[in-house]
Amino acid sequence: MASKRTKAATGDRSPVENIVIRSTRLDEAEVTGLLTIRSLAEVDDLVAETNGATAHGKIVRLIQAHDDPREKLDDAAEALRGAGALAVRVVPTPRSKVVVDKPGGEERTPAPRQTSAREIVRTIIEEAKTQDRAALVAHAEEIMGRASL
Amino acid sequence: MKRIVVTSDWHLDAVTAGVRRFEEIASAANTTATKAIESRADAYFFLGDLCDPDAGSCVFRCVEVALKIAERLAKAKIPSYWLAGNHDVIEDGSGDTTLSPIRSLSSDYVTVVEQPSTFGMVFGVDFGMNLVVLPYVATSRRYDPAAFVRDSFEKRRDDFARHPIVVAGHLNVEGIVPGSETEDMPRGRDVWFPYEEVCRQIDDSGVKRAVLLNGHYHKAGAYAVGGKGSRAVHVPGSLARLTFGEEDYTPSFLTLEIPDGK
Repeated sequence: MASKRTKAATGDRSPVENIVIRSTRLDEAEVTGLLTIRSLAEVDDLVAETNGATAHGKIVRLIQAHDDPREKLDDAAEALRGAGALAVRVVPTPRSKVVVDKPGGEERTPAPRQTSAREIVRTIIEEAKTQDRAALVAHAEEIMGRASL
Repeated sequence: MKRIVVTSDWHLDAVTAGVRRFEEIASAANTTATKAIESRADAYFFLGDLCDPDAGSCVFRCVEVALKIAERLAKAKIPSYWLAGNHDVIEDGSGDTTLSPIRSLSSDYVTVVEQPSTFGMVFGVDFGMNLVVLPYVATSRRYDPAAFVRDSFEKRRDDFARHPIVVAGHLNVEGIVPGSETEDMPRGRDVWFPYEEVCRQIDDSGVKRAVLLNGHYHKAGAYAVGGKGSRAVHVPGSLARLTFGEEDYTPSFLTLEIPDGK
């Protein structure tokens, strides 16, 4: 479920017409922490400065830069596990665009995906409420033509 | 003083980076029930998203947790209300949800809410509270949340004006920035909490004490979606940090304390 992206203020749990609303935090000792580490250098710092306490008991996501050697990543993951991390998952760096080499050394940036499959299906379902079948098929074909699945 | 414990978005089937979170979340869910029992709460609300029905065999364990908690609360004579969320619905046309097995415990103390409903809750001989419930809208059981709210107020205007009212939903709220429940764990479609209609009806009917609650969002907070100083939508949030987008979230639950009298 997507939501409209208008930021709302988050307020205190103040009385509402003399109804009191209290928020109770769960005991942190009972809640598993999550930790994202964005570079191999950060792993070194973390292990050196805190002896790995920051990662202890946490599920760790280690972001892999595209030029990180696999063996160094494995060593870093092992160091984190040794520091008490509950689990370590190495994931590639999220990229907003990909540069592709073309013959002759020229580079190009692929066009970004215009429409996701989820958006298409959602749109079709919404259209189905109001349109007849022929119009629906025409509309589906039109947005499929725009999509890059 | 009447006390209501509110929790939401357990997602007992959650797996984070290969780690199954069931034991931790089940323990947290039991903590909310224990808190309700120890504080002698007058009601307990679950605002949706127990688990995905298509999550595999762990669904049976997830449902078992909810059943046992509903049973514990019933034995303690605490009425519990189980509201279906977008992750709970089984979209096979039946209208069933992962909460449907809890119907087997239906009584004065256990209520499963899979369709929009209005309840007049009675605490003792002289104190009542009205509850308007807006579960996620399954495609097989579509309804218009704003129209339902309007009709509910029109039909029970006198009663609504006399007692506190709680409007509880599992819908999208315009104005709340979507988090991991949308980015990492999407399911279903957008159906909007009728914030403006609810506020209009509350103001027009002279209701003095009203609380708006909504599940779905994993980040707990009081969201003043109508602008600063407006009536807030209170979100209990999830009981665990489920995805890496939730690293800084504070797993928690709510307790409403409603003074006796008008």
